[in-house]
Amino acid sequence: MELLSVLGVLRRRRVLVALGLVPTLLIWALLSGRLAAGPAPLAVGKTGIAQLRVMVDHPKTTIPRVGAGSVLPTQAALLADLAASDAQRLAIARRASIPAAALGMQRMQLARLFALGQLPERAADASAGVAAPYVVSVSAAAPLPIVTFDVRAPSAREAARLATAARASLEAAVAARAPDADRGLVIKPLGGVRSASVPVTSLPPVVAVAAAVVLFALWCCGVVVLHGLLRAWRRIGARPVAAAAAGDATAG
Amino acid sequence: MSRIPFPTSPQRRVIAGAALCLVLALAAGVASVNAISLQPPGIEPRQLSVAGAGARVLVDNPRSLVSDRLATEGDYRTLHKRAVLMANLMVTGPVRERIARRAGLSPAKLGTTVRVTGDVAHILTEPDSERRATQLRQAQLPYRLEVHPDPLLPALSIYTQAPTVREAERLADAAAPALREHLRALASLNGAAGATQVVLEQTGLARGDIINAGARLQIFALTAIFVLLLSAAVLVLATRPRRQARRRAAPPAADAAHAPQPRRPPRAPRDGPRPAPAVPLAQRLGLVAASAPAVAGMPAGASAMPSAAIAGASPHRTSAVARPASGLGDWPRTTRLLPWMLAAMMAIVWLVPFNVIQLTYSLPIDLKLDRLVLPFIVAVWALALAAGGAAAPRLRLTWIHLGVAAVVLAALVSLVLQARALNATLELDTSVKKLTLLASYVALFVVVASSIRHTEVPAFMKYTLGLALVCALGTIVEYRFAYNVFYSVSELVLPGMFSVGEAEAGAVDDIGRRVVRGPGEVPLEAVAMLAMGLPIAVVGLIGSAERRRRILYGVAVAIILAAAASTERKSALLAPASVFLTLAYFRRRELLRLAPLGVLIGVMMLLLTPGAAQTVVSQLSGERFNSVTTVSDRTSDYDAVRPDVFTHLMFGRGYGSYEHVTARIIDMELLRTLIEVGAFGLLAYVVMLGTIVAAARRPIRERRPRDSAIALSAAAAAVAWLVVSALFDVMAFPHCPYIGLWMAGLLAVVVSAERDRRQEAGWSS
Repeated sequence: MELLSVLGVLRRRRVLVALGLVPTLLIWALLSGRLAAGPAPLAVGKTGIAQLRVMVDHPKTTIPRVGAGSVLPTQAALLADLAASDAQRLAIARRASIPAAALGMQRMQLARLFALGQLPERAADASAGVAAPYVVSVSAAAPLPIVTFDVRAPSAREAARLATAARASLEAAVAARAPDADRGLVIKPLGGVRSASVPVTSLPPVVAVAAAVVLFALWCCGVVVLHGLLRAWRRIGARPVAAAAAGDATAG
Repeated sequence: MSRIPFPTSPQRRVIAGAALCLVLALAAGVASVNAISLQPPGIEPRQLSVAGAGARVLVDNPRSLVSDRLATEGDYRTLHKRAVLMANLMVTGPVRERIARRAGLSPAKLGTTVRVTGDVAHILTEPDSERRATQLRQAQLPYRLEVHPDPLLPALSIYTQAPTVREAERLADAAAPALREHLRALASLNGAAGATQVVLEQTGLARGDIINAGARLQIFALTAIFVLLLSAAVLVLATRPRRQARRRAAPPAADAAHAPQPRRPPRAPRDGPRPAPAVPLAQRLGLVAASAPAVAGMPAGASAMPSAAIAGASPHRTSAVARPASGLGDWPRTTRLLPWMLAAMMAIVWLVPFNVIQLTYSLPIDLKLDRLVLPFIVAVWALALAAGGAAAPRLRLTWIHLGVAAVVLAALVSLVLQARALNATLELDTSVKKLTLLASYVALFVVVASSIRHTEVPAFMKYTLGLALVCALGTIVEYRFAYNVFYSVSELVLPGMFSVGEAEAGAVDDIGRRVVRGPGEVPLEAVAMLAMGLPIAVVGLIGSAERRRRILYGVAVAIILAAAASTERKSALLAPASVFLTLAYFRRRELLRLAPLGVLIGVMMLLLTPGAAQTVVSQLSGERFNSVTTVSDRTSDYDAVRPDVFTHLMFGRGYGSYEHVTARIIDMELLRTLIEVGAFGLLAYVVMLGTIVAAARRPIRERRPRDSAIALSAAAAAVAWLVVSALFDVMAFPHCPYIGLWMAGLLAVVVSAERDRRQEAGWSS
């Protein structure tokens, strides 16, 4: 029933409703990429991603030996921390032959919160954000002694190269930190680098349609509200006239 | 001396009033985010931005363990303990001074905290009054450093806060070197060799960003909205005597002009005579009766209005006989959308665990199910109001509205006064979110009070009782079969884009009680819901003359009581008791007459949930009552919250700003209200519930069968709400406020209809 009143208002204000089609079509054309003047994120492109998993192990592997290497997961987690350090960033950039400023390291360990609160939550988000064309994200798969490099780069080939460079840098860091040559750990790859080129699409077509529909609905709501305000406005103006007329009628 | 000219035309008065309110609101908003000086005249933006940064520090032995294959678990356990020690050392006075010095700050401006990150129950880490006082003092400082020792690794996470990003990063980067310097100083004092010192290795330079984006806009909007509402209210109240005088001077016939207008009110022709407007769409479609002839001065479209409306009465007072044919009949025989939408909303409130259901998409705000449904209801309501017509909502002010407004006002006052302080402690966002939730509750109340007709209220009360019974039966099923039907059905019915929380049916709490929560998030929520539904059944029982109806209502009472008992909470005794006491206050004799039936109801209740009532009663025995943590936690809150209460006694620390993650879990709504909204807010909260009871008194006293039953139910529900407010933080669990305000809204409909009736009687006499 209420909708019929609303539709009645829209019918009476059909010119205003029709005007709403202009911004609606405009937003649909912009979001669906039919207008070249669309904002930058609407451009369709591709990006490269790569993943490499390595295992932190003893030179003589601990896998078949029961009880061996029980602290390896802890060491892997600490190495993941170190792998995202500034020193490693420089080393990886050098090995991958990219400018150090173009490489960002995502610190997954810092983003893990151990106690909640506004400051740690927001500061962790602030420190985790990386805006660079090349990004390496390092995480430890606790409780396993496995470190994972997730890489994003402009192309799949570069991403794969960066992942390989990250592994090599970690190997070097592990060797450098070993107390003695025969007491150090080793980094063993778990499979090769997996890379792919993924499309960076703009919004899916349905989003453009949905946005246009929502905009048009909001426009219609605005028309109805405007009609209500005008009605109230006229009613306020009509009060003295009605009162005077009623006064005259009483006097008569 | 010349007087300020007072606009004579009503339209000009409205323009002048609106302009005045807008100017005041804008001025207050600008002043809230800018520092305005008169000598010399100037305006400067206040420092409101807050930056945060994070850094990670590894703790290691001089001979690194990170890449040592001979390192043992014992080595790492020792190192981890050392890391926790380092974290605690970092926040001590001497190290804090070193950090401040390195960061170029005054140590007095730097607050440092270390958090407990080990696997410890939250209750053990809750601050007592002394620690809370320290927390509050530190929260006022512009620079903060928080250290979190990693619970598994020998590492520390350092989070800092400062007015600028550079300062926040500098502060985070200063922490590890300052501690290192302190350790070196300690070592040299004690003659320890540097080679044996613990190694602190920061993994990278701290990175930061602004962490309160949008705060300036939030503070501006909060202040402006508050001043706009306040000034509008003051203006309306100040001009009321003048309006009343004018109304008294005008003859009653003039009130025809105030009656709801037809779709198109009379309008002076601009370019000569205009043709009569087309017949409204609803009438064309044959959905609205077109019987009434056009009235002089009204267009033909006005004939769509029932004749009673044209005669000056409200469309809500059209004859009940004429309504069904026009589609404007009483719910459930109506095509009006709003009553159906409200019925659907209440079905969600009673039967769906909506507070644990939310969209799986990542959005800036938590979109719980109720916050997805309610905006549509409010939108339809606003559109219907704007479009006008016979089905349009009718806004009528009652004392209950004023009570609800007082709560909103108290919340806004507390936030406006504390907005800048809350921004500095990063709590403003939480408060604004909670304010949105409060707005949802109030929106439901306003929509109910203006959209439901007086003649529809009994049907809605029966519907509410039906929902309460389904809720109660589901809760009993959960108790008997450890199967939560509400959670399970929601999981089955809702599409994959919604995630539903875990019911954990069959689980037990710390003190061995079953966790039976029905559609609520916690068992106490289910108790509160059922307690608010109980009075409808009891009042129905009191008012039933026929045996069959009496039996049915008696069974309903037994089912609701059994469901409440099945939660095994002490409140399951206290909340229903408050309902019976309230009803006994108003209807002593009638309740006493039902005493024999009460025995039967008790037996039935015991049969429905065997053992539950005994468990509840056994918890109230002296020894057990005082020994359980649920009681001791609550009593310990009284002392622990003193710093919060006395720091902002009158207006509180800000609505919705008390966070349990950094402070305590407050299990009492009244105490939480006192902390957050102060004595003024607590008074407003109690007054809101008081106005419900006060508004209900007249219909109860007059004993008109229909109205008194509704008023009795609403009054008892309000008292139950007050009682559960002393037992748990009821406003944090939306089922209860929605149900409470739904009942209050129905009562407001009754009260305003009664007022209209009295006014009509006054005029006719």
